[in-house]
Amino acid sequence: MSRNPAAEREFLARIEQNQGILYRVATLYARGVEERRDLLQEILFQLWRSRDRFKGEAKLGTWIYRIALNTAISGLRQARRRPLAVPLDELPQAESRPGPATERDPRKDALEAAIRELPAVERALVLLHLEDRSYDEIAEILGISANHVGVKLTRIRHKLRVRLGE
Amino acid sequence: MSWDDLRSTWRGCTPPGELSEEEIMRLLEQRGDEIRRQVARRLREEAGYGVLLLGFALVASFGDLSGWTLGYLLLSGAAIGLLIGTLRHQARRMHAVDLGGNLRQTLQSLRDRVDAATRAYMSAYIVVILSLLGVLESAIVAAHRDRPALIALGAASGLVALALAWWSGRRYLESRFGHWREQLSHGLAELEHL
Repeated sequence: MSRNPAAEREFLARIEQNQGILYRVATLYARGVEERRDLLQEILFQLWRSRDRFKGEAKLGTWIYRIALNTAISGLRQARRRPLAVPLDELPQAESRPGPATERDPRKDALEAAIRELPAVERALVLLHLEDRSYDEIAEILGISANHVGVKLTRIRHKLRVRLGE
Repeated sequence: MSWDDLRSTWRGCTPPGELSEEEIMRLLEQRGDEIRRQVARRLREEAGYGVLLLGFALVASFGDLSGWTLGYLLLSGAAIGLLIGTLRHQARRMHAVDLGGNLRQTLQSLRDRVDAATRAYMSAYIVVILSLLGVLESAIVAAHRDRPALIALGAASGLVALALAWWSGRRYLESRFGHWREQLSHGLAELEHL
């Protein structure tokens, strides 16, 4: 990767504000620590590759969601995937420094598991809705109509209720 | 259970990102290095195939570098170049897809490019095989004009080789892109039925 300090600073500032998005997508679309790190790395790489294409027409968060979800759902990671050439323990240990939020709560675990069981696109829909994205924004990220978003979310909520046993 | 209930549960589901700037840059550099290594390995593999084919042609010529043999050698080189160039170009196209578009556009675009890569590779592969078989058959005809049975046997063998090449090409493409294409189609179907 060629060094360009100004570009690096700008990129890092963008990521800094939105790291939560990357983690949430990686958590819902990959299983296990190794796969999550792999997906996180691929999303970061795709964001870096696309950094010059972000012109500010959309919100930064929307753009990051697009790239993260497109990377996760399109399977680009598996298409490129080769055995990691670096030992896994050399990768950053992001999850080895948990904050207070990582304390296990059965309700949270159950919700995460229920969302993971949904098909990939429905998972994206739920994730974006839980993250307070507007219907228009969700429609823009997924390429569907805003009317569809509301209808589909009602059905998904029912599915989640059944899965959560409520 | 309302969306607000779910949302309040969700808030604590995943920890906020804690990667430092150095860790992010290190992850990116590792990914860049990994890709460079993949490219170098692929180059070595492709060069290996080229050497193998040219070696085969040399052995087949029994040291006689003239006429048909020289033509065969040149054609082999051009054929390998055509195949490698096709694969390279299509791989570049696939990985140059703009992921900043919406999900539907991205999945559609990737699937179109996978299909285009499959078609281009198959066409190049068959053109290469046909050309090589054509040269070999011409050599047989030139050397054994008075032996129609041998010429017919050569032609029949060529057809069998062509069929095998077609089958092996499809198998190769299926193993390389089949699963990915299926995943892309599945995502698009899901969007359609949403």
